[in-house]
Amino acid sequence: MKSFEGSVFDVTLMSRILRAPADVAADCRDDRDASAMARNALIAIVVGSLLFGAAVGSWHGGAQTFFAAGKLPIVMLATLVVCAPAFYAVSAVFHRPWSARSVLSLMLVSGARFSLVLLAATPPLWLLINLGASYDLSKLAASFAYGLAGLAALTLLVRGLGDGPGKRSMIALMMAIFLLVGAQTSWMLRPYLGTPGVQHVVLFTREREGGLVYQLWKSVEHVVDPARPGDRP
Amino acid sequence: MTAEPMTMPALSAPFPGAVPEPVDETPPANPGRPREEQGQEETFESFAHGLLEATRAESWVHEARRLGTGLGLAALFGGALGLRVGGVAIGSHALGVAAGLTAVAAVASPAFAIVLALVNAPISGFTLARATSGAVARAGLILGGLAPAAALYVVTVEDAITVSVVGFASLALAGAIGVSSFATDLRTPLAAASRDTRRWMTVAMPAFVLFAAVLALRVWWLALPVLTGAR
Amino acid sequence: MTLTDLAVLYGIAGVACSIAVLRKEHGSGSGTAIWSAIATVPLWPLWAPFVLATPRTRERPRHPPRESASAGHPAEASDRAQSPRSATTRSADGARARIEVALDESVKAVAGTPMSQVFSRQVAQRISAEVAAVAVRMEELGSLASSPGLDPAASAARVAELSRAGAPERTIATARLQHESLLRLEKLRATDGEALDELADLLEALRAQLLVARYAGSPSDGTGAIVSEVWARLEGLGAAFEGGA
Repeated sequence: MKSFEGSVFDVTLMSRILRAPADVAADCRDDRDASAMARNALIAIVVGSLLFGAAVGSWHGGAQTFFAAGKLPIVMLATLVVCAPAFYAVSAVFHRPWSARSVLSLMLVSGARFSLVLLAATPPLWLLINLGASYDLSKLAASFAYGLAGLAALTLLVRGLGDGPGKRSMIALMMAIFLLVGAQTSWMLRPYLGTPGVQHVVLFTREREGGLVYQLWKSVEHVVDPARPGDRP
Repeated sequence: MTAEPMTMPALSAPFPGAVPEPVDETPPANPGRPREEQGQEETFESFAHGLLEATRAESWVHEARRLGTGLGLAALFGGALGLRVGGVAIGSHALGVAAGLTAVAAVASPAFAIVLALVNAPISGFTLARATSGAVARAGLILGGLAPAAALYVVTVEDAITVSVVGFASLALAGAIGVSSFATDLRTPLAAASRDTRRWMTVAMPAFVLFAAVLALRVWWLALPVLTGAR
Repeated sequence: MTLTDLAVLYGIAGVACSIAVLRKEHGSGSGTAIWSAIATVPLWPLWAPFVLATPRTRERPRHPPRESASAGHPAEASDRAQSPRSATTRSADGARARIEVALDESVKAVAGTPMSQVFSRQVAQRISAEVAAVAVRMEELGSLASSPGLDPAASAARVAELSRAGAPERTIATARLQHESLLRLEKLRATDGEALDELADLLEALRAQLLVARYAGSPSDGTGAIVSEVWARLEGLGAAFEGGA
């Protein structure tokens, strides 16, 4: 599927990514119009994560909205940049030694599908925050949206990998790499929601806060038992 | 389509006398054999394909190239680990990671060749060398791919334990993939061996794997102070 | 080394790739080249391969003479399409018959020898089942190709007609998509047919090797390699086996 000549963004391709992931995945493997797919996927990734970031930052409001909107695309793209060589190597070792273009385009369209789902989750998340959701609930809702987006991206990736030996091991390995790298990059660029009880906005925080998983677990505890003593100011 | 698990002979060198494949792309999920057009050299789908696929004909040069490339890629991972300290440590850690794989290829594999000869295994020196270079190539490719992620962790994580876990987990993964490749490449020739030989191999192969793992771990423990906390 | 140092190194590599991109895209329009070069600086691992690496030739049709001829003469293409389809079906049946005979004789040749662990009756049945599945698929694809509205020749003519008539880009893109899809169906059928023929050749060679091994008393050097090649071809036909060390 070629982009419309002269167009910057191919909406039809985005529709295909959502409706027919297997076809798009096959196009990626066959290196069919990979450059156009990569370009459109990158645009989708930036736009989707930017708007989702803005919704997340709206919990604190003000400058935090813009900070979060700027940081989430960086997190997404940085994760993809770091994971790209690993995906290439893992696919090659598990009997799929495709070209770099094929692997990258498959990864990018998976990222585009991820971002499109985030884009779909943006209005509900914004509404939830606008209705006064707590910090922990907002954090968990955003994490849930991330989880859904991840599943959507995974379905496209799984179709793209095709049947063959080592498929499950490869998928598990790719998921682990993506989760580890994504967690670290997002942790490095926090905060996104802001810090409850703190009025001023900071671009990055350097406090030792125990790690991403620890913070998510604390949020679950606070949502389940709001009376539980917290460790925030 | 899925099938119940069954023993599958290893994919080794393609059948020498087969009719050259027509000029066509290989099926997406498995590029399989290198494309070969009549009268031309073998062509490969990608860099990784050329690194991991064995050529139809025996070629020591190709195997040496695979071995060297695998070690080079592994060195990238070592260099990434050395970024935590910087300076000379980048080079020393690069050499250190490559040294672990070199030790297995240069020490463990020749020793295993003697064992194979003792048990009368129908494995030629070239076949063993090909399996070794294939294993190093796969391990090196995985380590090279994980180098950026390793660099991210060693530079941004303050906790030394996390860095050690990430580093050793990556090395263990690469080692497991290398060993799996080695065993798979030798499976087909061993299937044609006598019953006694195959019995001996049920002991010799795991022993070799254990020895190679301990040897590599020992070399890495000594050569990678970033992961062990030594200075 | 800090994250900042790493970022600086990354940026340097990005600038170098950006210059390479700018030089490569010099003739494609200054705006496109500049935007591409700017995007390369922060995203060079993701973007540079698409600009600097040579695309593989999978996008070009596998059988150009057939496609270009059919574009102008739909009737001829239809007739041409009839014969190859029938020829493909006959070829598939012939290949299947050869494969069944070779499998049966191979199993008999290894009975009672160590090679029976590599090539057992179960393995032969598995290969036979996969081949049967491929043959069914080829038959289905053949039936599809004869259905109205699924003729690649007609779709190619349609694209040419729309281009000549100056139709909207959206319409041409849709017609092109249709044509490419039909070409892919045709390619799939042809690929399966060739794969079956090659598999039949290999199995007949394997049968010969196994017979030599049985009567000479030891396996010949090429036996293991042929078995490996058979499995590789089966993987290419869509079989999924769990292998491992």
